[in-house]
Amino acid sequence: MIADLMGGFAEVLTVQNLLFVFLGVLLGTIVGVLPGLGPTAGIAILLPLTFGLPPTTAIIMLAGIFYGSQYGGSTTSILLNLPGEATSVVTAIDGYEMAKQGRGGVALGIAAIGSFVAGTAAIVGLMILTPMIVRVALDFGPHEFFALMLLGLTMIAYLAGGSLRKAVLMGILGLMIGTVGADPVSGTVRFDFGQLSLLDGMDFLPVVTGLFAFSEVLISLQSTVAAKPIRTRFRELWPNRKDLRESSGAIGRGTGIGFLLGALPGAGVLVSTFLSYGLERRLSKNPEKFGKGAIQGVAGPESANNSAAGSALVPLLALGIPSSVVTALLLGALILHGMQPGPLLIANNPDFFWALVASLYLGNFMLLALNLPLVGAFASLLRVPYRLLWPFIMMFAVVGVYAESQAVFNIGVFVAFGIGGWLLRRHDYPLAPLVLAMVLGPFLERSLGQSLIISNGSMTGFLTRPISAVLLLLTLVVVVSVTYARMKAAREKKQSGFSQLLEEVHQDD
Amino acid sequence: MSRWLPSAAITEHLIVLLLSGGWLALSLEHPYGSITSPGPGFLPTILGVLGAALGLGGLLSVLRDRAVSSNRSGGEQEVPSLAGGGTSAVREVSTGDVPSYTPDTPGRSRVWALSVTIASTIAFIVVLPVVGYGLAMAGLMFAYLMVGAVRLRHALVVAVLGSVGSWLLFEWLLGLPLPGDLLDRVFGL
Repeated sequence: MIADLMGGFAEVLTVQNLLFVFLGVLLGTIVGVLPGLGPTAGIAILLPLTFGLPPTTAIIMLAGIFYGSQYGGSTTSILLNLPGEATSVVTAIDGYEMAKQGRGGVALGIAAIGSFVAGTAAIVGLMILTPMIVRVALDFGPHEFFALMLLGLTMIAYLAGGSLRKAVLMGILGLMIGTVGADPVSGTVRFDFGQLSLLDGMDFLPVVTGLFAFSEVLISLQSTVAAKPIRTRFRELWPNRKDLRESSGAIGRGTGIGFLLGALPGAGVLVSTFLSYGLERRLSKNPEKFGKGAIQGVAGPESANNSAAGSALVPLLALGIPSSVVTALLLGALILHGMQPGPLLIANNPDFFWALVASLYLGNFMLLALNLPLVGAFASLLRVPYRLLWPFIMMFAVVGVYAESQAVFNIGVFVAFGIGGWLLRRHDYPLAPLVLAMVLGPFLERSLGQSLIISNGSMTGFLTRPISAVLLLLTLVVVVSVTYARMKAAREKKQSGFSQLLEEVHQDD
Repeated sequence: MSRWLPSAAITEHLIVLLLSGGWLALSLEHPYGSITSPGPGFLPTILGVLGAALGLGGLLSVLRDRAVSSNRSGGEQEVPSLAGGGTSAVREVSTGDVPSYTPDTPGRSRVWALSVTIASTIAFIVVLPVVGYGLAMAGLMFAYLMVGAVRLRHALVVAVLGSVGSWLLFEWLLGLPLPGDLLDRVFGL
């Protein structure tokens, strides 16, 4: 393993690769800082910049953007009380309070340190776990893959939060979009409506860019939030010994929670930040300080989200199963660059894997070095009027979508999904199940077809294979338990509503 | 009059039902095969049925809740459904929803802003093959900047610079071809 890692460093320590690691983390931090952009839209928009690059360099840069955005998101949370993305929501609770008390620099500093420690630990975990999982997964056949993808999609829909019906509908819509183009088993072309561009299916990039970048711009055109970021200076960034002592436990616990949950499909990264915050408040000797500037309220969640970002790469690289929209984008990027995701990815491209791991280590150092001294510069980006920013965001998005395939049709897809994404988000339909189902759908269908061919048409093959049977059982457990819990919660809510009504009636009497 | 208009929830479920029905109709054009030997229409048909079932279930749930609340109070208040498919009295916020940041909103109507943004992007698609990248992108950027109430002169300058800059980045630096036009002739390609 150490020899492989050294080989990875040798591959990354070239001028070109170092430059793109740096560019990736810098762009990622900017993406994280700018509210309304987010890592998903950011990676989707910047993905076309990697088309001319070797696959390893391209993925190194995109992974840097992914990691960097986790760091950048905390800047706006703390200085503006406006999370750059969902996983920084919790950081804003105490981070902004610290900033109002003149301790914004300390909050940023501890967020950066926690992110660095957690990120490094997650990379070590990634390095150790991924090859282990790959060794097991090499024995996976179509039955196991079908069951695993079904479990992943179920968890995405059932654990994402919000309306279950809407999440399931989005999953179904994503699977429908995934069936456009050639059937993976028979090769029959479906739902192409005579369009040449749809023969190979709906292109991933215009769909995701439309759903996340264009819809975000449309939403932003409707809302007004006036905000002024709180100023902070470099010399204020260093936490003192007391701050470090108070935060160390939170950083350690956040790292553990994030790593365990980050690999789970669904809202693993997001849930880990909330869990970490809740745990720190429960363990604290002064829980009343939470919500008023408790440093553990920043250290824990920031560590959790960076650790989760690292562990989210484990199922992606080991199994080819993305656990979130961002990792689905990275999966799409792998495919665009001619790599076949799945357990054989590492077996066939070990140099790629170890170069990626090495780049994550280097990127983590670069992020710590960038985020502390340059926090003022990054925060000043927030002073650029959004009405000047969004046209450039759209320009990049439109050109990128066109450049991928030179098809004007894809710009139409981008517009259609942008409008669709805007309407869906206005009505609280989650987009993550749609994207993941769209990415996994073709693999799911192919696995199902291959499984049935292998089993001579018998469905019992899914049950006679132990791994497949266990995964299907887990899927059933998730469906039953979450549905039961939601029905119980809805019933209790209705009953408490009636009880209140009865009380009011009695009071009137 | 408003009693006869469908509520937002009913409209939503009807749209789901109609779209799923349409999808199902398209799916049935392909052979279904069998459960042990699925054809190209197998998964799309199942998805169409599931979508239609969810739409129909949601619609019936909302109609039932409306009937119950009308009988109780004579009003049109909707009650959360036990199955979770009805309308919640509290608007659910998706975990993906984060506040948007527009430090200075232009003084024009938001409907106008949305309409111009969408229309100009569609217009870009139409004119791109005709006038080429440079002019099309400059026009698009100009429209976007005008939505943002940027001054006319500034918008023109930024639009032209943005168009040229993006062309240089994508075609010249990254080697990704864009529809040939004026910029190709200017830069000698």
